[in-house]
Order: sequence, then C-alpha cells, then structure tokens
Amino acid sequence: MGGRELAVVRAVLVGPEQARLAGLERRLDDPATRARELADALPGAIALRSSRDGQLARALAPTIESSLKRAVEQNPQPLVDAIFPIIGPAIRKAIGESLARMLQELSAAMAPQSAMRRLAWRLEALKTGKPYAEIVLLRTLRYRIEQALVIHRETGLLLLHAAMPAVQGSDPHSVSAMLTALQDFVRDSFGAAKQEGLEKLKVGGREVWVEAGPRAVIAVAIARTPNESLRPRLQEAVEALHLQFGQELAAFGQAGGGGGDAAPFARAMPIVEPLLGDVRLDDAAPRRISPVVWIVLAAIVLALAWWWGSAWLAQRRFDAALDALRATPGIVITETGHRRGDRGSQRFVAGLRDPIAADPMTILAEAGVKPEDVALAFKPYQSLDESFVLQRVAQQLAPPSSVNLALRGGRLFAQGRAPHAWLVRARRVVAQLPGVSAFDDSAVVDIDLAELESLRAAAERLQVRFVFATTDLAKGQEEMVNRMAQALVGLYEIARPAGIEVSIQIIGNTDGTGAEERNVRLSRDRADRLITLLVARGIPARDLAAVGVGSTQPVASESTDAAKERNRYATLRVSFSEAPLAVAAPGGPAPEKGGRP
Amino acid sequence: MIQKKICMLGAFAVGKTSLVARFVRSTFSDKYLTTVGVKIDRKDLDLPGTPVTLMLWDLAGEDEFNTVQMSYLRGSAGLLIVADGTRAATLDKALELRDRALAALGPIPFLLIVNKADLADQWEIDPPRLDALAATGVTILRGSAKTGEGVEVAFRSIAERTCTPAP
Repeated sequence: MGGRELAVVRAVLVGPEQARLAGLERRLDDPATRARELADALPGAIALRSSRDGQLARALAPTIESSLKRAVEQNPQPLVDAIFPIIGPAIRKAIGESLARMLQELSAAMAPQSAMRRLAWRLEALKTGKPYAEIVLLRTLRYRIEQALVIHRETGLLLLHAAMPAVQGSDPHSVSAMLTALQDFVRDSFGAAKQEGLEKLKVGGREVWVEAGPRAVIAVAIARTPNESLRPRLQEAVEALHLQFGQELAAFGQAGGGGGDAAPFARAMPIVEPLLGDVRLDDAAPRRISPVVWIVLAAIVLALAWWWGSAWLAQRRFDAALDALRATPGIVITETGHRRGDRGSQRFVAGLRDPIAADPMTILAEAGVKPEDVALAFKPYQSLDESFVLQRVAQQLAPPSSVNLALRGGRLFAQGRAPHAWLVRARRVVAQLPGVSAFDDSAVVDIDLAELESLRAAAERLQVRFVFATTDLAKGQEEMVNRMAQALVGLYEIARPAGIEVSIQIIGNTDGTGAEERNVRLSRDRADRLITLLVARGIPARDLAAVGVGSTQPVASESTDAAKERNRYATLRVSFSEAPLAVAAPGGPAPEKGGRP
Repeated sequence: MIQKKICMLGAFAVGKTSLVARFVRSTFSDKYLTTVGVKIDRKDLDLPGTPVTLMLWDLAGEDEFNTVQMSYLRGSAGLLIVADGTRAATLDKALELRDRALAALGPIPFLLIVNKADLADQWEIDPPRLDALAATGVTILRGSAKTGEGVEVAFRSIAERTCTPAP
C-alpha cells in the first residue's frame, strides 16, 4: 500500500479523532486559552483544596510572603494605609494595659513581705488547727473565673460556653446576645470607635471582662476582683481562637443557610477551659519557705540565744562576784541593782568598806566582772573583825620583829622582846584603839630595863672608902670613884634613849666609933663628898641625892681595924622612873623602887 | 445546633413584645427595651433535620421620639417586621424600617406580621393593600398576641428561610 492510500485510509478511519487531537493541541499550546480556562477553574479549585486540607495555604505561604515583601519595598503606602487604623488603637491599648500592670506590680511589691505573710498563715494554721494548705487557699484567692463565653462578634451568637462545675447562671445564649447589645449600646451612646467597646463590667463583687478580636469575643464572669495579669491571658485566648478557627469564624457569620453552626467551636474548649478556675496571689502556692528566711530566723534565734546566754552568764558572774565580795572581811554590801548611767543600764553595788579591806574592784575583776560594767559606792568604816583590829593595831604600833601580837576576845597579847620606848608607846596607843579592851605585855621582855638592871647591880656593888673620921678618900680610892662614874655613864647611855629617868642616892657610912650623931653628920658629908667627885666626872647633879646613915649599915662586924676600915664607905642606889611625859599604863611594871641595903 | 439572630422591628406599641412573650424563653426583663433599647429572647425550634435556636432581638419600637438603633441589626440573619392591623400608619413604619434594615444588612429573609388579628373588625389596614404587598413577594402573617395565632408559624417560617441557602 502506497503512502497516499495509507493517508486516505487513515483519514477515513481516524479523521474525526485527528481533528479533535489537533483542536486539543491548539488549546494546550495557546497560553491565552489555557489562562482563560485556568481562571475559570481556579476559585473552585482553591476552595476545594482549602476545604480538604491546609496544604495549599502552606504551599502558597512563601510566595505570598515574598510578594508582600516586594510590595512593601516598592510602595509601602497602601499597606501603611491599611494597617494604620488598627495599629493606633492597638498601641494605645497596649500602653494603657502595661501601665496598669506596672502599677499593680508596684503595689504588690510595696505590699508587706510575702515571707512574713506566709509565717502569719502558719501561725494562723497552728492557732486554728486547720491545715496550712487550707489557710493558704482561703487567704490567697484573688479571683475566680466562673464562666467563659465565646461570642461571635457580629451576630452576638454564642459559639462556646464553659463554666466551672456548680456555677449557675442565666441562659448563656441570651447573655451572649445581651452583652453584644450592651457593647453596641455603649459604643453608640458614647461614640467609641468600632474597634473599641466595653472591656469591663462591674457589679458588686463580680466583674465581667470582655476581650474582643476581629470576629470573636471572649467574655469571662469573675468573682472578686481580678488583676491586670488576666488581660494578657484573655488576649492570648482570643488570638489563639482566631488563629485556629479563622475559617470557622468567617463561615459562622455567613448570611443564608450556611451560617450559625456553632458545633465546630466545641473544639475550642482547650483554649477556653484553662481560663476557668481560681487565680491566686502570685506567691500563693503553699511552697516551702525560702531558705533565706530560715537562715535569717536561725540567725535571729542564735543572736537571741547568745544575747540571753551571755546576759545569764554575766548575771551569774556578777552574783558570784557579789558572793566573793560578801565573803571578804571588811566589806559589807547594803544594796545592789541596776541604774541608768551615762552608758545605759549599769549595775551598782553600794556598801561599807574598811580601808584595810581588799579592793572590791579587784575582787570583782577576779570574778570576771568588767570594771566598766559596774559602779561602786563604798563608804569607809572600821570593821571589828579581829584580823582587821589586829592589822590596825600592828599598823599603829609598828612592833619590832622580835614581838608577836595576838588578839583574843578583845585582849591584845604581846610576846617577845621589845625596847622600853616601844612598850611605853604601845601601852599609850593601844588604849585608844577600837576593838581592843586590854593590852597584856607581860610576856614581853623590856630589853632596856633588863640591861639597866644588870648595870645597876654592878654599879651598886661599888664602894668608896674614906679615911677615919674624915671625908678624905682612902688611899687608892680615886680609881674606885672613876669606876663608879663609868658605871653610871654607861647606865645613862641606856636610860636616856629609852626615856627612863635615873635617880641616884649616894649613901654615906661610918664605923661604929664615936657618937652616932656625929657619925650621921660625917656619913652625910662623905655622901656629899662623893657627889662632888661624881659631878666632877660628868654625872648630872640633879640626879644625885646624898643620904647619911651613920654607922647603921655596916658591911662588916668591927672586931678588927680592918673591918672598921671597911665600914667607912659610901655607896649608891639607883632607881628608875618614866620620863615626865610617860604615862604608866595600868598593869605595866612600876619603876624600880629602893635599892639594896 | 444552628443559631440565628433575628431582629424584630416595628412602630411603637404594635405589640412586638407581647406577641412573642408566651412563646420564648425570656432571661431579661422588659425594662431593657426602654433602657438599652433592645430585649433579647430565645426561641428553640425543631426544624426537620436540625434543631435551631433563634436569638430574638426585640428592638424598641420606633416613633417620633425614638429611633431604632441600627447597630443592633448587625449580624441579623432575618427580620420579623410587626405592624398593628388597627393602625395603618404602623404598616408604613414597618415597611420603612424594613427598607432601612435591608439597606444596612443586604438582602436577608423577612416576614411581616400584622398583629391584633383578634380585632379584625377594627382593622384600618385594607386587605387589598396586604394582597398587593404579598404580590411583591412579601410574606405576610396575621398574628394575635391575645390568641397566639400566627406566632409559632412565624418563628418556624423565618427559621426555615434563614437556614435555607439564598437562591
């Protein structure tokens, strides 16, 4: 079969189809035709796909974004014009709300410390016996959102109603419509802009807050007074609602048969339901008290304990110190206590103190009391405690180390060896000392008197002999006169410093020969003769006295001339007396009287 | 459940409120009419296939002292226009209000209820005038607040129409 025949056969067999194919090719190849056809189908196609899923929106999003971007870059004015009426009120609202929130936070910050408040709640829980958590719930309830209505803005129809259990209220459908009517009423009456409207209603302890979006409004009924932090929550809910239910909201408002179906909004419950419930004070949760508070409390308790403890210790130290003071001889405490001083409250101790007694401040210091913490007021007195009397006596008497003093029952006993002058003074002074009733110095050896006694004995043994019937010294008796004078000088050397007066009797004697009358005169002359000789040797004349005894005091029986010669002599007797100022103490040894024959 | 906002319009004292009072669920008192200018009632209906809730916005009657607040009309799915059969002027007012509402809302279904059917002998509105009106496509119902005549039908009718897609 030739090519022509084939073409003919083909034209007969598939001619119509070829013509239709050519037509189709033309339609597909011609962009104008295709565009026209696509324009017809596009709205339907978009609606179909959009109703099926969100893929179209996702696919278009980048393109739309870049178109918007380019449009703004080229000429932003149309967009500015479109956004301007929305932006203004939005900014005003945002500023107003953040100001209100700031104020509220400020007042919360200035409120009393939350830690203190929680402490008060704990105390209340302790007092009332209720659980702490219950008290917190009671005290911290700020407000309670009882109902939430989602209202279609244009129609005022109810889209969704959520309420807390057991909350009873009017028909939410009617409330929703009435709220919308009120919005309109207020807007019309007070000439507010279309975007603005009623945001709050307040009736007694209840409030209704309204947050409006472009298509839907959320209204919440609140018990008590909410704070501004509620507003952002409502705004977020409204935004979420518009974001997730934009299509449904648009469809609800459609005129004709399609609108008015609230069923899809049941899915918005997760947005609305969290709004319901109790909202508590920010720090309301019954959380644990901050460790800082515990540390501060512990520090306070420790400080108190330390303060109390140290005060207690100080009191104990002070009491112990007082006991020590009371036990100290020569100190009598009459009053103790506190008084206001220059440096606040100060302890004081008042009483009597013997000047000899230990220093009370030293005793306090030894017991641990600081001198600046206590004021002392002691008046002087003389204690009759025997140790004190003895001390005072010792101070006054200054006894030589060879003397021991003792006080027993008011009697002062002295014992040992003492110079005569000390004894004399002691007897005088002791009589004037308080606390001493008597002075017993019988056990004291008077050193001076003892010495004088031995010197006197030696002096009184000396005898000066005379020539018969004259006042002339026998041969060699000059030496005896010298010895006698020496003995007396030695005696004066002891007696004068001791304050002892010395009296010397010179006694003249004769032998038994001749008339006694004459003998007495001769013996007296011999005594005078010896006095003259002694005065010449430095013995004071006023201490010397002459006595003539005749032959009445012989030292030998006159059987021989030698014995007679021994009886022609003169001798002396010494007596002591206290110096003129000296007053003899009672019981003291009397001056020696008389001499040996 | 479908919800529809229906506005009731009419001249002052045509009996709008009384007309529906015994057929609706009233939450709010009549005082709102004189204060806020609107009273909201709810009417639940069972249409074939779906239950419908009508939110009836009973707008305060208009006279020389009061004007209807047109913002209350916003979002309405249908209108109930009420006239008083014994006062011809109320029909004029009803039609005027209808025109204003439709101008603001666009074409939405409406019904004309001529009230006080129980006082037919005292009517001022001529039946021929109503017939002429019906001829222009207006649905007219005679109603009586006293007997309840026509009211339930009016609710059902407006509900059906608002739930039917516009031709």
